[in-house]
Amino acid sequence: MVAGVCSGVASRLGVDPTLVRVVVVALSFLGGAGILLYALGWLLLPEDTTGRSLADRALRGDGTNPQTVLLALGLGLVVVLITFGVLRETWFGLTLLAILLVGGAVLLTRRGAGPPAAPAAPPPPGWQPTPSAATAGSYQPPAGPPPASYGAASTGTYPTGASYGDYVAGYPYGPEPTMAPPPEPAQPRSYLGALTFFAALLAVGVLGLVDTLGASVPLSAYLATALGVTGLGLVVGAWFGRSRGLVALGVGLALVLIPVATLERADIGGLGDAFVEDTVEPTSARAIDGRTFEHGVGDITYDLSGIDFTDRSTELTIQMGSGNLQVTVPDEVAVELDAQVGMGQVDAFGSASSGVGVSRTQDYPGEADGGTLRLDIEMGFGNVEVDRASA
Amino acid sequence: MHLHDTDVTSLVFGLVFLGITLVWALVEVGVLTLSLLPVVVPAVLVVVGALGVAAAVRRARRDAAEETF
Repeated sequence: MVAGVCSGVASRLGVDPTLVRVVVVALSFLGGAGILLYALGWLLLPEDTTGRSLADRALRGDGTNPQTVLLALGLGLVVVLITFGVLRETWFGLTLLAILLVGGAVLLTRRGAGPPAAPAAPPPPGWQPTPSAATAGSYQPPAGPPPASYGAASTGTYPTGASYGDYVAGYPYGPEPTMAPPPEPAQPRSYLGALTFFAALLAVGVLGLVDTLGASVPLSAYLATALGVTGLGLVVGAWFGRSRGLVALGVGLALVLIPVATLERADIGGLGDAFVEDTVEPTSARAIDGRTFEHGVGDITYDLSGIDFTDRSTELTIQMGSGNLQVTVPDEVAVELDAQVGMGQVDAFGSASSGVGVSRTQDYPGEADGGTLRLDIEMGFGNVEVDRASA
Repeated sequence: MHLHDTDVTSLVFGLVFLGITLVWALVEVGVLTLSLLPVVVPAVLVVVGALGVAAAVRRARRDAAEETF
């Protein structure tokens, strides 16, 4: 046990703590996911004793002891490093990270609406309800009929000479007992959020006009422009006005922009292209050596069984967004495989592994003089199968 | 609009969004290739996150100092 995260989770879920520990330990062998979860739990789950999480205490700094801050920083570093590891593997990591960001935003905004206001100014020393008795004297409501000098128009029984405040303060029942300290000045209404939003709309509209006038503007350009304006508004809001509401807008835009831009760059002619079914049958090793082939979504077969790789080293890279990729190689060639799958399965020469962030780097020997094929495969979401022609 | 205390949340998210936009622009004009992204994107996050942590810690320290008055 380190910080009791497992037993805490177990008691919350009403299961045996051992079960939770086994799951976490198992996960920590799978690319550090368990360690990541444990560190996040330690940081973000409230403690039994204080009812507050470590991150909460470190950030808000009350009862700050340097240890809390250091521990939180250390755990934060662990989270960043592991996230870095996940990111390095696949674009899928980006999605995970975006989800983390959304979670963080929710936590931060739930803590209190608006930017943390400066603590309410304490009343100046010696401040107390105005002792106006000194100035107004003890006014006693006249018991008898009003003196004639109050004038015919005055129907009240109070002297018109005294101000209302004096009257209240000097009233014999005493000053208002609940004289609250002066309320915090209301924050001025901020127009930054609306301003940014409409500026983003304006920029996107201008882009649309440019698009109509003939220049080709990719979908990602619209999203990136809106995201950039949103980011600017937020940075301004760090010092002027308030614009936290833009965080949600930006997260949404980023979540759409990243996959759209990735797909655009993958050169598959946009999102409209349907599932592609294709068999690639290169004629010679020279035709594929050193080349990178990119595919979007589909069912792609590479039939390399007719190629003569003898006595040479050939390098082929295949990148694919999603779908099934099958590569058939000649029986005699040695294969140096480096396959990365964001989510899905790698099945190479009869040995399959699947899951999130699947990576297979392995050499499969061939016959003497059979040549070498270095095969680099990247797949976002789908299945990769590599096999020999005779299999 | 008056200058107020640095709002770390706004600052960090603003920088993250500007960073994503910048990376997109660099890829679009061909300065960056997709294969470099796995290095650049986490680097942007690390820089922005470090700035945010520093700002948050500084504010926590200052708040703590004010409380001891």
